[in-house]
Amino acid sequence: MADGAERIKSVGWKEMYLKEDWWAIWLGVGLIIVAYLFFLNGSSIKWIAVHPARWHNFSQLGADFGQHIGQYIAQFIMWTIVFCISLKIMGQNLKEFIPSFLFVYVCSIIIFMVGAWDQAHHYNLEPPLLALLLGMIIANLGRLPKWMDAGFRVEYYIKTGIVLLGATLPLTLIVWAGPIAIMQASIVAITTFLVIFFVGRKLGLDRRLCATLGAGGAVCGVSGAIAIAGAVGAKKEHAPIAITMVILWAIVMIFFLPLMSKYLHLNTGVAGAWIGTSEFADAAGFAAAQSYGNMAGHVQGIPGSPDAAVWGFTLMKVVGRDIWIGIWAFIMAIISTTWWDRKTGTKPDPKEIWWRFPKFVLGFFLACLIMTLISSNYSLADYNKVLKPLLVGPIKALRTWAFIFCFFSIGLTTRFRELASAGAKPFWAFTSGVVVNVALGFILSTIVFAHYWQNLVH
Amino acid sequence: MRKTSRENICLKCLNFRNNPVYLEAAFKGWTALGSAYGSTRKDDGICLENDVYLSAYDWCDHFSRAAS
Repeated sequence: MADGAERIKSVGWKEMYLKEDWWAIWLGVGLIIVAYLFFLNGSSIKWIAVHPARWHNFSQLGADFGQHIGQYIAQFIMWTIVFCISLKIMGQNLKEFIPSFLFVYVCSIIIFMVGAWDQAHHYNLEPPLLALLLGMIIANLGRLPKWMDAGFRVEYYIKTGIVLLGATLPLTLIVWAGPIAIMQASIVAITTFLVIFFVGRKLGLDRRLCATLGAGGAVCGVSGAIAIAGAVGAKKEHAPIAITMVILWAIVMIFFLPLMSKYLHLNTGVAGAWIGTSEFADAAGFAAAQSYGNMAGHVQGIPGSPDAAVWGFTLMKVVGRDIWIGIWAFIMAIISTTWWDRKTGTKPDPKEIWWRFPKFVLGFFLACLIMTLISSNYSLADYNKVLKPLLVGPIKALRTWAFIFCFFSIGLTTRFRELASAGAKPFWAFTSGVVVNVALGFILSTIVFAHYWQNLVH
Repeated sequence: MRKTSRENICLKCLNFRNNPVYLEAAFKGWTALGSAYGSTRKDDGICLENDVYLSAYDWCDHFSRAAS
């Protein structure tokens, strides 16, 4: 596989060690189990889950960093080992990954530090947005060597973070709001897909391109677009066009949705649901939801808790939208091979639904279940006094690190000069879907199902 | 639509490319918000003969067996 141009034999169940979805599960759930074992022995992983403390002046910041520098080095080694083992097995180049990840980690410390400044909110220096902007500036104004891409694993970082997030999201919340999330997601996804598809057809675009664009806007961003491209046998140039559209609009929405929510003083849970409905990719949506959540309590007039924004987003995007990807791919494969006169198609197999399922979602549910079982032995008072600082808090800190690696990597890999030229027709087809998606997502989140999103509490 | 034997599918064709390293290089921007190492891609890849991106289990008249 030296030149990277060979075929990979059927992955099948080997995906349990060849695909990053499964590795995100092993990593995330593994970290949770290790954290719990430490906790059972009267200890905590708090030491290695270090993060910058809130600071007011540079001497405080310097003193805090000096005091914990050994812990940062230990944490870097921990991340490096767990990522290296998995990436090596998946066939990636560690000689390139390690120095690149060192760069990501050092920059993430700086981003985390800026976010911990007690005036950061005053200047809108939210760590997710800062990480994204810094990465985009470096990637677009400078030129990093191509080999450094090995460390910018956006999807791997976000999937690991989502599994860890499962440990901090109550199972009761999923049971209570999950069906609403699925209903809302279905309404918006079907509408958005049909709008993009039929506007694209009206503009004269190939139906395979319309389907690829539609899935990018409606289902699951880049992953959705590419899964559907494969299912319908799209032309080679179709997927890059959809990727360009998804990236451009996802970046716009990372800034637009939190700013609009702030302007309208939306409840954090409601804004999270809106972002989950109308953002186009998990990673981009988490950046937006976490930014808005961070504003709660710091910016006047924003009701709700910081966690509610991330919970609302997760319920809508991960639970409501991501799980449909296999079903969409299966349906589109049937349509394309039955009615579209394909020359390359075969009869779709229902097993497709399972193989294309984003497995990291299972890890998210598993983490949620494990933590729910653990916390069921504690009263609320003990949960807050014992479990939260020694177990849940450190897991949350590690999750935040994984998210910052991800947000920074989004910026570093968003190189506008490298994106495929999309052309006016795909742009207008996709944009029509964006308009409908954002408007419909807003109405459903803030009016129709607002009651659910406003009450995302423990 | 046709049902094929598992012997002449794209996965076994000389013109098929589904190595994630190759795919991420071929589709610019993929890694910014996605990954070729994700479950959702399954075994899909690029057909150099027809210039399409498709399932590894598809089939066409230009099948050319790759050396195993």
